[in-house]
Amino acid sequence: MKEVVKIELNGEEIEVKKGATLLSIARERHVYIPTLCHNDALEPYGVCRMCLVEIEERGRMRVVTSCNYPAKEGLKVKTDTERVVLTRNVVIELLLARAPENEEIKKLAEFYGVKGGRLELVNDECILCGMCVRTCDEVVGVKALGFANRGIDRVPATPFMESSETCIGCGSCVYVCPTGYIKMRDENGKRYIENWKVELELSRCESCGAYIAPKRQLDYIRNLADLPEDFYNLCWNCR
Amino acid sequence: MRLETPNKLEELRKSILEKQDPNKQKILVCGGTGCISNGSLEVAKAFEAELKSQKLKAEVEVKITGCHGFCERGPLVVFLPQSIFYERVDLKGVPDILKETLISGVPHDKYLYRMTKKDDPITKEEDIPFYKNQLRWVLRHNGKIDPTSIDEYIAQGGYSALAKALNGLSPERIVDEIDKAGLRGRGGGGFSTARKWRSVKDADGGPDNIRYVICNGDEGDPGAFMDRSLMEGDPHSVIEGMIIGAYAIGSNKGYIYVRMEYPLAVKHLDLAIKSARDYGLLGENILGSGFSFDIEINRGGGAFVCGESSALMASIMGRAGEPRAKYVHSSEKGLNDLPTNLNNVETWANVPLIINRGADWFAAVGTEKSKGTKVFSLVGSVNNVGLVEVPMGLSLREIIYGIGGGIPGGKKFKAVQTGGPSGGCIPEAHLDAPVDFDELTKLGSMMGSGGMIVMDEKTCMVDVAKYFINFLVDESCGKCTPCREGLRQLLIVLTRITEGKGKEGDIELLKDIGDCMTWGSLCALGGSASNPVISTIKYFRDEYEAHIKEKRCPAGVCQDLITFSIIEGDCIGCGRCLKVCPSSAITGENKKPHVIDEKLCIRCRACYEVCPVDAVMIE
Repeated sequence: MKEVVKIELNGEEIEVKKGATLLSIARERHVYIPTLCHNDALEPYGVCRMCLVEIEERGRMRVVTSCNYPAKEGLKVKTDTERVVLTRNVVIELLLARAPENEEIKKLAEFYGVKGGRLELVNDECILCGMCVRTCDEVVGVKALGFANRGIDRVPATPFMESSETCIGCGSCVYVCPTGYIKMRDENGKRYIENWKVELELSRCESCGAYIAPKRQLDYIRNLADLPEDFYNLCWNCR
Repeated sequence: MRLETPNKLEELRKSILEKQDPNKQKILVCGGTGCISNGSLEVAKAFEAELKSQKLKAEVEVKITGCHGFCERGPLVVFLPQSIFYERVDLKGVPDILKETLISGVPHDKYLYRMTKKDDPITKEEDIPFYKNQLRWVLRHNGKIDPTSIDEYIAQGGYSALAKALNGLSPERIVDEIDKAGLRGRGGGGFSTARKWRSVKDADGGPDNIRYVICNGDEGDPGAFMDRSLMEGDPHSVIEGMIIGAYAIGSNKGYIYVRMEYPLAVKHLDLAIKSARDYGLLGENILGSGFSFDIEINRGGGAFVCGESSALMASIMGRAGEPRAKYVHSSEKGLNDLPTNLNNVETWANVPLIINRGADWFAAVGTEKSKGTKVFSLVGSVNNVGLVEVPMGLSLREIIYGIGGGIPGGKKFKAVQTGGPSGGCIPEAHLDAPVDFDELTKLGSMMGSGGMIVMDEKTCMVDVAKYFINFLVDESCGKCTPCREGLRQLLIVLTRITEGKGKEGDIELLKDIGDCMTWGSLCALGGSASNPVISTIKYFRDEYEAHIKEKRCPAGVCQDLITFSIIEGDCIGCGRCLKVCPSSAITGENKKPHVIDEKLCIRCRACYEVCPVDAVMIE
């Protein structure tokens, strides 16, 4: 059995698993903390800075990200202090300037009463949550993506921004992207992911002729999993 | 030759000292990067050649040393044992300097130090105010020994602290001694060195019980060169400190992370590591103690953010140099997820001193919570630019005026920025504040690694804030939102203010973004990046308001907000401004007052710089 520690969450004393993240603890207790770069399937990344909370530890107050801060004995956590509200609201304001058309961010801004207009618009769809890069690495295991450049020029990209030779076209990055920045389409027997300059041939069902998935993706799974050959040759319906 | 025991080291020291003649005539030529770029190596060669032709080669030794610190006046040459200090030595002066100093026995007047051209010369190094008011502990060997020779370091008592530690001090006792000395990290944070060592020592080193020590030599602040000069000028003191630290915390592997732009530091460290290995001071079974430790040099690509500890470790591991959230400390999970102790170059160089002289000796200097000395690179609008080491607690005024010789050209002091690009600007009202970790933080700045940039009245504080934010925009890794987007927006707002397009509410906007960055950024770079903006608003708010409300730059710097004119009564009609004006905006007859056509003027300042009677006015 895991060690239990006592912490205080918004003034209420509770017993929690030692080392559990503050975000998971808050969510279990229905305390809302917004996130943009968090996904339970991925390691906490702590970069969007939406999930900030204020903690008091040995008399020291600090603002930390709840997605990766571990519960420790005696920790006092507050989710809506003045500092948290100011920081979170400015983060929303900054993201609203970066991606003004993004529905997710517009919703957050409305919820917290953050108005735009003070900042110059950047108009970049990507908010650099890194979900695509991390999913490709941690979940898919292909590691076709990384980040290029530094600072305000940072972008998710394939190595040297060239057409990826390792991307299997599975589309996981498209699925996790919260802003619709990554564009994928299937056309004339091919799958295109424009962001990664990828063009992959789709495999057809041996029985009905429908497209199943990119050949490279099926080969990738073939190498990993011990599945009957039908899985790779037939579509969902004919399997 | 391997030294098998501490006694063998002592024997070696004796034999080196026996061979040295303290009265031998020596010519020390500064081989720091600053002096080298001013031609000091050629000067050293010229001395050698001249000595040869004068048939004095056997009696006189020419030695290229580490940085002497007084970079403003380089190339520097010191004659020992007379301690005669020559500045700005050029090839032309070499024969006369030699002839007069060595043959006539009178110092060569022309190259002696003078505060200003009108002042009397000062002959001896120790009498020059720049040196007289310093306390050179960490820099004690800089400018004295040849950094490429381990024997010279040993002759100065080098590696005796290591021998003392291995030969009778328990690791626990060493940590206690560092604790008692009150040593705090010189890299910026000012964290207790002993507390860091203790937590690494007590951390779980995994099945193979591995711990690492790292020396952070990534110094990237514009205008800062403390660590470079130490690594170049006295590499063994850094290495000795690391070995002692490694022994104290139980580590067998160390890294020195040096930026690529410091080739001489890399060369000297590399040589020092090799010669320490040859003597058995690094490697297996050091001095027969059973303790083994070795060091590898890691060259960084020159990213400012790699000076941040977790980014630095990522870089050593071959990953992109980006910080990570440090809710689990590096002392528990650092390099390769194992306990790692990272200290700055200067912190390591303090360690042998403390072990040799004792904690009480060390703690006798400094303030209540900041002990020992601190090396600063004093740059900007100050007469004596260079590397200075002072006791903690000395006031900013004593550093800038006592050592730095004040502001050139009779200008007024305006602000001093401490702590590198993300430090704050401190105004004249606080010049008497004692310089230590906590006082500088209280003033809204920081110790940082020890950069100190002096600014005079002709500096626009909004422009200064813009300059540093511009630097940080380039250097932010871009990983977290507040730092990346915050810096971008700060630069946009500051730019528009300096262009006269500032809006009502811009100051509040800057403060909001700044606070968000301070509280919300992932690492210390982002957390401190808004300091130049926040501190200039705090102390120079009127300048921001003049830019925004009156569309005026009080310091006369921001091009879009100034006009140039010639004061009729002052102009002597010399025509110099007319000749340099690139846009033909100036007209006037010889010996009659000239005029500037505002429409043609591109505000390049050329006329202002050349006017011999200060008749060009900037408004």
